[in-house]
Amino acid sequence: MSSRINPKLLKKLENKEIGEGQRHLLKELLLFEYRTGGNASQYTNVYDNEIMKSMRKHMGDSK
Amino acid sequence: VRLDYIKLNNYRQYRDSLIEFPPNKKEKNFIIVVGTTGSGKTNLLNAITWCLYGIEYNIRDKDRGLPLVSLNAFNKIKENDIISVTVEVGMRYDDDNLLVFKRVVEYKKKKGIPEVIINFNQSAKDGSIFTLFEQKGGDIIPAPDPDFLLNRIIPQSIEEYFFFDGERLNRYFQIESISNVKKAVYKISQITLLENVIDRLSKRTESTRRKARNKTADAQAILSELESRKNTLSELEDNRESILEDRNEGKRRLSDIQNQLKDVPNINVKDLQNEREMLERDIAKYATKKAKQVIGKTDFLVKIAPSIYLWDAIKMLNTQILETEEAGKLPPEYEKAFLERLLKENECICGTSLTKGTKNREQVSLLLKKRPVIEDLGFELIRLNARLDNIAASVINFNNRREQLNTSIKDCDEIIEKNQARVNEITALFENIQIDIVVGLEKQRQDWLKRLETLNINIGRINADISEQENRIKDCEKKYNEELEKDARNKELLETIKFCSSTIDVAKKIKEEIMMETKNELETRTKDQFFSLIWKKDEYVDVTISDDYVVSVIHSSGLESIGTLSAGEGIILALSFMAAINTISGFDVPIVIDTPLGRIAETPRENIAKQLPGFLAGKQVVMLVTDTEYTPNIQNLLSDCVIETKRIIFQEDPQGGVSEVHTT
Repeated sequence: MSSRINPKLLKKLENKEIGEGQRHLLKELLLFEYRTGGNASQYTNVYDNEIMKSMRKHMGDSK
Repeated sequence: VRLDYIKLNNYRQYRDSLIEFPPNKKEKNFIIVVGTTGSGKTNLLNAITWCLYGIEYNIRDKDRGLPLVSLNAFNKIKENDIISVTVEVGMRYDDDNLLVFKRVVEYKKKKGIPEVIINFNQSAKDGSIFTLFEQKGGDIIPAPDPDFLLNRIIPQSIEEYFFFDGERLNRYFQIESISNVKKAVYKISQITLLENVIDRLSKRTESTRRKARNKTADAQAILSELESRKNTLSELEDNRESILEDRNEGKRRLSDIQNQLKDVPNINVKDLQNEREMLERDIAKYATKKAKQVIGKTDFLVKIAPSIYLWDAIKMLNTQILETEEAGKLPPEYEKAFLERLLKENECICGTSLTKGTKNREQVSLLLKKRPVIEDLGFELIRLNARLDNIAASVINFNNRREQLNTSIKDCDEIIEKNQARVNEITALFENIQIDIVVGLEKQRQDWLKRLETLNINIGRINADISEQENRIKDCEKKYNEELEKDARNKELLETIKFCSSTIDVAKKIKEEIMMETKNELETRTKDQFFSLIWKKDEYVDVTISDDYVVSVIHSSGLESIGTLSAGEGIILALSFMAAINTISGFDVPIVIDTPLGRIAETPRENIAKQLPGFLAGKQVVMLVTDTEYTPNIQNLLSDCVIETKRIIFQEDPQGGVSEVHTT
C-alpha cells in the first residue's frame, strides 16, 4: 500500500534522548492510531495495556 | 499506487467507455488526454472524484444542475425504466494487486425526469453506493470499510492537491483556503495521528489521576482546580483559533481594499498607496528592532548593575591583590598544603628530619602559622584578579555601550516617527480627496487596520493567558503528585502518571518539530519551484509561508503581491505549491491535472512544460489539455516524458452528445 506512517515521525522517535519506555509507548500508540484511522471506539483498553507494557520497559531502563 | 483504468457507464457524456492508463516507463510518466472545450475533459476528472468521494468538484456551468446520468442514454429509455450510472476506477499497487473503486447510482424515469432511487441502508447522500474490491493475485475480496481504506490511500482532505483543475488553482491561496493548507500540512505529516495520541494519552493520565486512593481534602481541591484549569485552557485555545481566523479574514479584506485603492484611476493614489504600504512595513520592522534593542539594553543593565554597585569594593580588592603580588607574596612562597604535608610526613624534601620536638619542625610550624591569610587564597586570587580586570574593563566601557544602545533605540524611534508622520500625511490626503470611492475605501481601510490592531492585541493577550494556564496546570500537577506521595499505596499510580506525562511531553515536542520542519520544507520547495518557473525573475524576491499558513509573494518593492499576481503567475505559484506538497507528502498517488496551461501565455507555458516533469519525476501524471494549450512546441518539450497520448472524440447528437476516448 502506498501510504505508511510518516518516516520522519518514526525517525524522531529514534532520538537517543527519548527513554526506551516512552519510545515504545509512542510507537505502539501511533501504529494503533494509524491502523484504526483514528476511529477506534475501544481505544481505552489498548491504551491501558500499552501503558502497562511500556511502564515495565521504562522501569527496566531506570533500574 | 497508479491509475490503471477508468470505466464509465452512462456518466454525463460518456455512454460506455474504458480508458486504460499504461504504467510509467523509465523517465516517461505523463499521459496526455487531448480534447476540445466541452468534449468531457473536466468530466473525466469529475468522474474520478465522484467515484472516490461522491463529489464532482469541478462542475462546469453548462453541467451545473444537470443530473449526472448521460442524457443520450436517459432520453432513450421508457417511462418508469431504470438506468444506472457507474464509474469504476482501477488503481494498481505493487504491480500485481488491483484496487477497484466503484460508485453506482440508479435513476428512474418519472414523467420524463430522472429521479434518484435511494436505498436507505446503503446509499450515500446523493443516492449512490460506493464499493471497493481488492484483487490480490487471483482473489477478489470486497473491502469491509471502503471509506477507511480510501482515506489511507488518498485522504479526501488533500485530494485537491492530486486531482485538480487549472481553473481552480488560484483558490489555494485565498484566505478562505488557509485552514485547508493547514489541514493538508497536518494530514501529510500525520500530525493528526500524533494529536490523537496526545489527546487520548492525556485522558488516560487524567483518569489514572482520579483513581488515587485516600485522597486528602487538599488533593481533592487540587484535582478540582486542575480539571477546571484544563477546561479553561481548552476554551482559550478555541478562542485563539477563532481570533486567528478573524485576523486572516481581516488581512484578506485589507489586502482587497488596498488593491482596490491601487486600481483607482488616479496615478497619485496608486503611488501614494504603495508608498504608505512600504512605510507601514518599515514602521513594523523598526518597532520590532527597537523592542529587541530595549530588551538587549535591559539585559545589559541587569548584568552590569552588580559590578557598578560593588565598584569601590572591586577596585579595593584589585589594588590589594596587585600590592600583594608586587610584595612578592603572590604567588605564595609556600603552599599551605605543602607545609602541612611536610609536618605530617615528619621529613623535609631535602631529607631533614622534622620529628616532634626538633628545631626544624618548630621553624616549619612557625612558617605555617605566620603565613598571611591572603597567601592562603594564593592562586585563587590570581585567577580572580584576571576576572576583576574584565569586570573593570566592562564598567569603564559602560557609558560607551549604554550610549551605543541608546543611539540605536533613538534611531529606530526617529525612523518610526518620520515614517508615521508621512503615513499620517498620506492618510489625511486620502481623507480629504474629493473622490467618493477613495474616501469610502480609505474609511474601510482604517476600520480594518483598527480591527486588526485589536485582534493582534487580543492574540497577544490570549497567548499570555494560555501560557499562564499551562504554567498553573504544571504547578497543580506537581502539587497533586506531592499530595499522592504522602500515601505509599499510590506509589505505582504516581509512577504511571509521571511516565504518561513525560511521554506526552515527548509527543508534543515531536509534534512541534515536525510541524515546523514540514512548513519550512513546503516553503523552501514552493519558493525554489516558483522562481524556476516564473519568467519575470527580478520582479519578485521571495515566497514565504507564515506560521499560520498564509502564503505570500514579495515584490521587489518589498510589498506583498499575492493579490495582484496575474492569472498565469497565480497558476505558477499554485503548481509550485502543489508539486511541493506532492513531494513532501510521501503519498504515492497519481496526479490528474485539467487544463494546467490554459490561462498562461506561450513563453511561460513553455517554461512550465520544461520544468514541471522535473518537479513530478516518478509520479504518474495524467494531463487533460486542449489543442490550443498543447501546441507543437509544448508537445516537443514534453516528448521525453510522455508515454501515451489519448484523444476525446465528441459527437453531437440531438438526444445528447456522446464522448469516447481513443489512444492515438
